Amino acid sequence: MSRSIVISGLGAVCPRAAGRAALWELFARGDTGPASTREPSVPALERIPDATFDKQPAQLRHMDRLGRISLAATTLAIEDAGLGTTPGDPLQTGIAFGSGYGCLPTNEEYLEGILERGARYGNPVVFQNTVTNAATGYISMVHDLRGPNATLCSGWTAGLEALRFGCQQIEEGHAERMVVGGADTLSPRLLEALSLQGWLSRRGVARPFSEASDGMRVSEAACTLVLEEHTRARKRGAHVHAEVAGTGHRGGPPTEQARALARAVGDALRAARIQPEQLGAVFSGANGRRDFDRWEYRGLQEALGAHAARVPTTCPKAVLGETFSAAGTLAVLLGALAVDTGQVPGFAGTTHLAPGCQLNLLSGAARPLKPEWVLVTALGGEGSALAVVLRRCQP
Amino acid sequence: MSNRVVVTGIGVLTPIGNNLAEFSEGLRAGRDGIAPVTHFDASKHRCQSAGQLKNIDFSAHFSPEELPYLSRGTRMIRVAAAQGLAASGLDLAAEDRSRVGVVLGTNLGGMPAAKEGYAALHHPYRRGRAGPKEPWRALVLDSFISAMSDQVASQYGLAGLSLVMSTACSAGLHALGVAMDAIRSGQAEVMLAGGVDPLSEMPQAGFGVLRSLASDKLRPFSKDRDGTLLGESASLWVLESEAHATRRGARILAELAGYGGSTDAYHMTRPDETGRGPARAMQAALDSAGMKPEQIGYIKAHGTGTPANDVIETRAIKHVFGERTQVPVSSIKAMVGHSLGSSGATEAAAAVVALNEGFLPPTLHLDTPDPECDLDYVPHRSRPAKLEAVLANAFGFGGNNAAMVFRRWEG
Repeated sequence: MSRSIVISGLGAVCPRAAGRAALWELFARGDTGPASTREPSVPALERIPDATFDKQPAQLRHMDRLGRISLAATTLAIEDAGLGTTPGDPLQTGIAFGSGYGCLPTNEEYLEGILERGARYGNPVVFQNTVTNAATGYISMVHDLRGPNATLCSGWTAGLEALRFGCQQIEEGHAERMVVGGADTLSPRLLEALSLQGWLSRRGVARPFSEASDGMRVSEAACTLVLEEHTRARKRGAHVHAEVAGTGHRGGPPTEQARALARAVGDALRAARIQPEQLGAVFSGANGRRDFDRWEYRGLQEALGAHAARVPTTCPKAVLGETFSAAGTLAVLLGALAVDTGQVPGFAGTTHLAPGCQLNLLSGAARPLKPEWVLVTALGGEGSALAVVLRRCQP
Repeated sequence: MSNRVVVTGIGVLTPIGNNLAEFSEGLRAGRDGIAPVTHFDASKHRCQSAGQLKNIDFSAHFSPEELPYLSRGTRMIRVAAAQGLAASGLDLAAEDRSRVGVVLGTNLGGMPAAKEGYAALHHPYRRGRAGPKEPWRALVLDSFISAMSDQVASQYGLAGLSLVMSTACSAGLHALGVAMDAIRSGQAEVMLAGGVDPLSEMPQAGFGVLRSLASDKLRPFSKDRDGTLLGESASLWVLESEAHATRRGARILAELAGYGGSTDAYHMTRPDETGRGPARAMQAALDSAGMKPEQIGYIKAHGTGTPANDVIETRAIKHVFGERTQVPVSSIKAMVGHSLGSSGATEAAAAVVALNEGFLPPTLHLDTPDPECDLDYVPHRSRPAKLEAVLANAFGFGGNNAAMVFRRWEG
C-alpha cells in the first residue's frame, strides 16, 4: 500500500462482550460459552442483550436491530480512537459497512406484518429499515460522517470488503479517515435456513479443524474499526493498534474456495511485501463446519507452504461463533490487539485435529509470541475470500 | 489520468425494452412502460401500477432443470449479463478470469415478488418437507441479497472480486463507480458491473403506506407530481481499461470518465432540503473526470416524481451548474418506473444511449410546470442533441448520493 493506513479505533458488541477490552478478555479466556445439553433441531438464537443499546439517543428508536448493534460498535470504536463523538472533518470522514444478510430479518418482520394484516397495513417504521444501508445512514447522522458512504452486502466476507473499501478510499484521497465494520443479526427464519443446509453444530459448540467438529455455532455481532493514515493518527497523538499492511480479495465458483483463499492470501502478502515465513500468527476464519474448514486448511497450505504447519494459528470463531460479516472484522480487531500487546490467545478443543490437518493450533491461555506480522483470513462460503495482513506499529 | 475506463457492452432488461436496442427505441419514442401489476395480487395495495418487464420468457434462457432453482432477480441479471457480454464481444475464455470481477447494486436481490412466494420460502410449516432435490433449499440461498454477484461470477467462472452494493436507490450507480475504481487502480482490467431489482410486493406495500406512490401517473418535475411508481430492471455493463479494449479491437460505447459519492447525514428517508449532498456528489464526479460543468450536455436526473426529490435535485443541479443553467435535464422514471437498487445503473444506460444516438430522452407527463423546478426537463418528446459528455444521478434512502460522468469516445 502506498500510504500507511493504521487502525486507531476498535469497537465491538457480541452476546457475551461489549468493547474491545471485554472482547479480548473473553477471547483470551477461551470461553466458548455454554454448550447445549440437548440436541435441538434448530439451536436457540444467541443475541446481543438489549441493555447494550440503553444509552442510544431516544430519537433513534426507529432503528432496527442491525442499525442498533452497528451504531453501538461504531460509537465504541470512535471513542476508542479518542475522537469524542464526531471524528474530525465530517466531509473527510466516510463509512463503509458490510452485512452478510443485511436487512433480511427486518424484511421478514415487514412481510410477516403484511401477510397477517394486509398490504395497506404494513408498519412504515419497519419499512424504512428494509434497505440494508439504513444502518450506515443512521450512523452517518449520529456521528456526522459525510464522506464516502458504502454498504456492502456480499455475504460473509462483507465486513472485510468494507475494510478494503475503506483503505482504498483513504489511499485514493477520497477521505482522511474511514469508519469500517461488519454486522449481522439473526432471525428464526435465517437460523432455520442455515440449519436446513446442515451447517449448524447440534452440540452448539464450534471446534474448528477438530476431528470432533460437527458444524458451526452462530451468533450476532457487530464490529467497527477506525482507519486513518499513520502520520495523521500520530499527529493527533492517537494510540495506533496496528497497521493494515496488505489486503487481498478473490472470488470464484463455490467449488474453488480453497484456491480463492490461497490467491487472496498471496495478494495480501505481496501487498505487505513479506514472505509467508515472516508471519508470526494466523487468525483463521475456520468455524467448525467440516467443508468450510477443509477449504480454509487447503487455502492456507497452498498460500503459506510448509510455514502453514509451523505458524501459530488461532480461531476466534471457536469462542465467538460464526458471526458472518462481523467475523472478519472481529478477527482483525483481535489480530490488531495481538500485535499491539504481543499476546496471542489460543482456544479450547484443539486436542484432536481432523485427519490430515497439519496446523500449529494454539490452545489454552494467551502466549507472549510478540508477532510483528499477523494474517487474518475470511471465507464467504459461496466463493469469496478475503485476507488481511496486519503489522505491529513502531512506538 | 493513468487508466481510462471504457464501456464496451451493456445488457438491459427494462419495462420498455428487453435489450439495449429496444430500450433505446423506447426512450426515443417516449414509451410509457407503466401498467397494472400482474406479478402479484395488487388489488389490496394503495397503488396498483408499476413498470414490469414485458414479453420476457425466462424458459427460453434457462434449461428446465435449472429454472426452478433461480430467483427472479438471478434470472434477470443472468439474462442481462449474457446480453452485455455478447454485445462487448469479449472472449472470456481468452481472459485471465482470476482478475475479472463483478460488482452489482441491488436492494432486494433474489427476494420473491409476492408475499405468497415469501411464505412458501420461509414459513415453518414447510420444515421437514424439504427433500434434497426440492428446489426451495437452493432458492432460500438464492433469495439472499449477496447471491446476485455470486450467480454471475459462478456462471462465467470469474475469480476476481465479487461485490454487492446495497445503498438503496443509489446502489447501481455506486456499483459502476466501484468497478471503475477497481480498473483505474489497476486491480482489474475487465469488470462486469450493474444492478438488478425485481418488482416485489414489499416496497409496493411499503411505499404505498408512506404515500410515496403516484395516484395515477409518475410526473417528474411537474407541479402536480404526487409520488413515484416502482419498476423492475436489470443491467450489466462490461467495463474495461482503455488499453485492454483497444488491444482486442473492441467497439467502445463511451468512456466512464468520473464518479462521485456523498452522504447527506441528515435524515433516514428525507433528503437534505438544501441539495448540498447531491451537489457534492455531482461536483466530485466532475472533479474525478477532470471536467467543468459547462462541458456536460445532458443530465440524466434521479427524478423520482416525489414532491421532495425533484425540487431538491433541481436545487442541487443549480449549485453545481449555476442558477441560470441551460443544461437539459430529464427523468426516464415516468417510462420505466423506479427500480430501486438497479435504477442507478440501468438508467445510466439511457445516458450512454443519449450520448451515442444523439437525442435527449424525454420526461413524460410533465404537464404543469412547477415554479420551483424551472430547468429544461425535455418534456413529453425526445429531441436531437449532439452530446460530448453527460452526467447521471442516483440518490437513495439514508442520504446516499452518487453521480457519474460519461464522455463520448472518439477513438
